[in-house]
Order: sequence, then structure tokens, then C-alpha cells
Amino acid sequence: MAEDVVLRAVVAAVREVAPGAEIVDDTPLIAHRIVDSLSLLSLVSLLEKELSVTIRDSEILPAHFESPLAIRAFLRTKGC
Amino acid sequence: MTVQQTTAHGAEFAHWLAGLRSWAGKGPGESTAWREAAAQGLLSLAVPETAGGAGAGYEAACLALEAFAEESGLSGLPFSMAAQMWACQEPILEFGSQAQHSGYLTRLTSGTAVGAFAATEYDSGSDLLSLRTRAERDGEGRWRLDGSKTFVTNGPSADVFLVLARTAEGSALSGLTAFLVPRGTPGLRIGRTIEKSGLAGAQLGSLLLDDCVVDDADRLGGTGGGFAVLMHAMRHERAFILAPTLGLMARALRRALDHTRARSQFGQPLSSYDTIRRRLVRMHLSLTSARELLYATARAADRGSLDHGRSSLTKLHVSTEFNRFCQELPDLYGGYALLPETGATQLLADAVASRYYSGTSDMQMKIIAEGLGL
Ligand SMILES: Cc1cc2nc3c(=O)[nH]c(=O)nc-3n(C[C@H](O)[C@H](O)[C@H](O)COP(=O)(O)OP(=O)(O)OC[C@H]3O[C@@H](n4cnc5c(N)ncnc54)[C@H](O)[C@@H]3O)c2cc1C
Repeated sequence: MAEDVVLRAVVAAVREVAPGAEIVDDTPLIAHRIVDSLSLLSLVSLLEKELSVTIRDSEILPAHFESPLAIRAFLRTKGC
Repeated sequence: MTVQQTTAHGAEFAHWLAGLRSWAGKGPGESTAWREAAAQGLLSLAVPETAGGAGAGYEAACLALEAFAEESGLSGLPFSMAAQMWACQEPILEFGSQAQHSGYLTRLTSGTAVGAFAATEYDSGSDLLSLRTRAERDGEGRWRLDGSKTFVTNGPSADVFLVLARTAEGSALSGLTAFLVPRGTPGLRIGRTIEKSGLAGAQLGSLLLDDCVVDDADRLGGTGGGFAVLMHAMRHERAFILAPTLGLMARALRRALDHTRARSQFGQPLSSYDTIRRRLVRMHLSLTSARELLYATARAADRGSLDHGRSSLTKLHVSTEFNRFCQELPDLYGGYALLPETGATQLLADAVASRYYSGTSDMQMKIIAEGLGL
């Protein structure tokens, strides 16, 4: 199966905003408080920049950011 | 007069703005100015035409707020209107249902209703996400809100409150929900106006929510979507809440120039002394750089680009320069700075307030640092 480059980019972005945390595809980001209110905003900005998407505030829902896989699924709905 | 189908750069808007300036320069009474400004279309400038607004954009709205403050000399009123525009109207626009648009937004923009944003609590200021007001679903599908809010701009007079409450334990990222609570809702008690210095004419108040029953139709955004609503409000408020202060600085600078030219000591006008000239130049520089950054941010937002780092940077820079400006201002007047007619100490109090509302300067720095990957 071809590597999911978007998922790799998501994991890289999460690692960038949460340095030091061990991040795999299904790491619970919010439940484990790896991503907090400030780093979530940075993550959104980073994803927008890296993947050339626009994420509206109304899309910053916990379900979309639960884990790198959840973020990947959400981005798929935006055509990534 | 209404403003429609116009942008900040069109002749039609320039004409409208001149009309607003002329009205504001006549010194409208504080009790009627809100409605009169709204009747001219000020509150609907940044609302797209598809939602019943003028669709003139953020730059136009900021120019109008600046002009209103500059010509009228009022500080609290334009601040309160801006607070409604950015922290109440914007979230309703983004997250509101059709019914909420027609039920609330239209009344807010036309000035027939006043809106307030109620997030801060006594124990949750900078640490806002620790807020304790709770909302629980009852057997009939309605929400029951319990808790209290403070520092609510427009609180004493508002007709609708955008209230942030906790609907689930755990992370605030998923545990907060926003509600639109109309005045008169059973269980909503509105406290006294909070006495304060600065921002004369702005009314701040507290709220008590005691088994306050809110219909599910008045939930703004999804359950658990409160963080997104909060961030949407703050992104706009931090970028644009200080637009009126540009007008107040321009007015104060103009008057200070007049004073230093007119008053002589040791046989020379004050304006001939280097100490005075340097102060005036520094004030001019503060105003110019604050203005440039705020309008660059507004133009970018009109093109669809406004991230949190940029909003925080704008808030931090404009409030910092406003404070620098107000540090210099009294020294141009000497002892006369203490007289109300110079407005110097009132403006200084406004500048102090600007370091705290919409998040303190320390909090803006945190957000900016985070954006830098620190
Ligand atoms: C004029 C005005 C209007 C307002 N209007 C509204 C409104 O309409 N709706 C609303 O919900 N709220 C409103 N507020 C509240 C405002 O958002 C809060 O005042 C602000 O968030 C700061 O909270 P605080 O005043 O409790 O200060 P605190 O949080 O107690 O902060 C005190 C000091 O400690 C610093 N500090 C706190 N935590 C940290 C930290 N972790 N690291 C470093 N420094 C820290 C702060 O920067 C500040 O200098 C308004 C405030 C003012 C002054």
C-alpha cells in the first residue's frame, strides 16, 4: 500500500507543536493532553501552511483532532 | 443613510464615512449614539451581504470605528460596539443557524438589540479554559446553566449574552459549549454595573446563572464546540478591538500639537523645545506603526487570511504603542494633564485597560511564542 503522505505530514506537524511527546498514528492527542489550547491553534496554522488547506474555526472540533488518524480523516473531507 | 455594496476603497464608502464623521463630530449623546451609529450601518459593515450586512469588510469597519472615536472623543462606546461586533456578531455569523441569524444577528446589527460575550469568571481570567459555569441537559432536552460570569462588556444593558459553559469534564477543547441566552431568561440575573477607571461610557457587569434554562435551539455551534466559538471570537476581537484607539490617539495628538504651539514658556512656544518635539515625534511614530499594522491585518482578513498569531501580534503591538503614546502625552501638558479637558489621564487609563481585555499582553506573547515554535 502506498504511503499516506498526508498522514506523515500530520504526524510531523503534531511532533512539531508537541516536541518531546511520542506521537504515533493513533496517539490520543486531546485525551492525553498532548495538544492543548495553544498548541492546537499552532497545529491548525501549521497544517494550513503545509497542506495548503483552509480550516475554519467551526471545523476545530475535538472529533477532528482526537488523533493523527482523526486529523487525516478530517482532512480527507477537505480533499487532501 | 445606509452603506451597501461598498468596500473600504470605494467612493461610496468614502462618502458614507464622511457622513459618519460629521455626525460623530456633532457630539452625539451617549444614550442615543449606539442606535444612531447602528442606524447609519456601522455595526453591519463587516457582515457579508448574504447575511444581511453591508459586506464592506473588516478594513471598512475599523475605519468607521476609528472615525467614530476620533470625531466624538468617546472611548467606551466605540469599544463596546467593537466588543459586540467581534465577540458576539462574528461567532453568530460563523456558527449560527439560519434562525439564529434572523433572530439575533439582524437585531444586533440594526442596533435594536445589544450583545455581550460572557466567558470570564472570577477564578478564570487568563486561565479561561478552567471556567466552571456548567450546562447540563434536562429530561426535556433543554440546558440548565449554573455559574457566574464577570467583566462582561455591555453586561448591564445587553439583550443577548453569548455564554460559554462546560458541558463535559476533561479537556476544555472538547468540554465547552456556547449558548445564546436572551435577557429575561428565567434564572439569569444581571449584576450591578462594575465601577472602573477608563473606558468611560462602556458598561461592564457580572452575571449569575442560577438554574438558567436555555432551549437547545439557543446552543451556538455544536455541543463541545465552545472552544471553536471562543477562538473565533478572540481571533477577530484581538485583531480589531483596538481600532477606536487609533482615532483617540489621532485626536489627542492633534490637540497636543495645538497646545504646545499655543503655550509659551521662557518666551518660546513649548513646541520649539527639543524635549517636547521628541515626545510628539515618538507619539506620531506610535500611532503610525499601530495604524499600519492594524490595517494591514484588516486587509489580510478581508482577503480571507487571519490566523491567531497575527491577531495576537496586532493586539500586542497596538496596545503597546497605545501605552507608549499615553506615557508621553501628559508631559506635553505638565500640570494641565490633570485637568479633565486635556483627556490625558483618562486616555492613560484606557491604555492600561487595553493591556488586559481580549487577553493580557503576557497571554498574547504566549500565543505568538507558540506560533514561532518555541
Ligand atoms: C475593559 C475590559 C473589558 C472586558 N470585557 C470582557 C468581556 O466582554 N467578556 C469577557 O468574557 N471578559 C472580558 N474581560 C476580561 C478579560 O478578558 C480578562 O480581564 C483578561 O483575560 C485577564 O484576566 P484577569 O483580569 O483575571 O487577569 P489575571 O489572569 O488574574 O492576570 C493577572 C496578571 O497575571 C498575568 N498572568 C496570568 N497567568 C499567567 C501566566 N500563565 N503566565 C504569565 N503571566 C500570567 C497576566 O498576564 C496579568 O498580567 C474584560 C476585561 C477588561 C479589562
